[in-house]
Amino acid sequence: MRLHGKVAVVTGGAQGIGRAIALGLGREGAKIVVADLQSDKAKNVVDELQALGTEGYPAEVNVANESSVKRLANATFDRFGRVDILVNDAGVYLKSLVVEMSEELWDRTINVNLGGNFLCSRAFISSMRKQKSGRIISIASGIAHYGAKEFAPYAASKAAIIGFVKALAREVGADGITVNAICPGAANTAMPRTHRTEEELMARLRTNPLGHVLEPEDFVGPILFLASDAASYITGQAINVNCGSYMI
Amino acid sequence: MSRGGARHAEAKSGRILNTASNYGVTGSALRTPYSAAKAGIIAFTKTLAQELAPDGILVNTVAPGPTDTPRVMGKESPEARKQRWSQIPMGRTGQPEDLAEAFYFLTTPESNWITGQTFHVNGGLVTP
Repeated sequence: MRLHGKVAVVTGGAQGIGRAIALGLGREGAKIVVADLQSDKAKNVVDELQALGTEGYPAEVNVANESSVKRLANATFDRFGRVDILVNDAGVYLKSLVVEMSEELWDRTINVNLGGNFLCSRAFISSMRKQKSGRIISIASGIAHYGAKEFAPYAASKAAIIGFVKALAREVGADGITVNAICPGAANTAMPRTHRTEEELMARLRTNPLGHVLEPEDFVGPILFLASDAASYITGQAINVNCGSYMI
Repeated sequence: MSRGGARHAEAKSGRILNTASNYGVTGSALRTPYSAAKAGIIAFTKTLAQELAPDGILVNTVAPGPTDTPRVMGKESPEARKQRWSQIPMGRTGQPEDLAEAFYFLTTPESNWITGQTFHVNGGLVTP
């Protein structure tokens, strides 16, 4: 168990890739704060963590709201006394052409996806600084690199996350904290299902050089690597986990 | 070497790991052939990854930054070394072991869905 005694906060941990990451880190012995807007689903993930033999705590959070994020940080320290790993996974994926887009859709995407990274990272940095170690891992997207028609705010927010990660890495490296991003390729989760038929989605998911349909669990290995001591000299990077669909 | 390995990959699996350098992305004055060769390795890795993906063979490259090896350390005064550290966000030069960890990860099932990529192990010095 590579993460025994560690504490991890996973935003967006109630479903999809975030849930898989929460369970994956828990399987390696970490105690997990499952932070999500959907508290009922977060409780279910905590039950799953307990069944794996580790501890979990469900925390309701709106990552775009600073006081909500502060409550998350306080709840984490009250419950577990420290934090070693923050996974910024919470995000929205809203569809609109740029020329038809409401300002509200743009703002919400930027505030949740990018603002959430900023607020959550900041809330846990001082504690990581004191212990001279920490791991911040943000879930960006392949769309940050290649764009996506009708998803300009999502693409912009994910590209901005990569810029944020690079800048923050340079601010906190001296304190033993690494900051990296993972760029998942299109995966078999609920998120793309809001905008595609089942047939369209599965056809698209198979279209990559390895011909493999990416599942949420497929991102756990790279997260575990970045969270472990093995990656202590890797920071400010965006790691593509996409079956070779985009090589940059 | 890659071609020799690929011909033997009848089991529909395999890993090819190349070693590039951060100079392959940033360039480095007075190191034209080295930088060009390392940039070439990155493009070679991507191309080979596309060619071998149907056979389940993954091809990735590790790009080290400043690493404590005899070749680097032998040329560096203590002052130059301190100066170098001040430019590296993690505040130290890399150890060969840091690179070994990245190579090892790229041989495990945990990296099954990563191919054609460049892993920069440089303490945050270069963040392309």
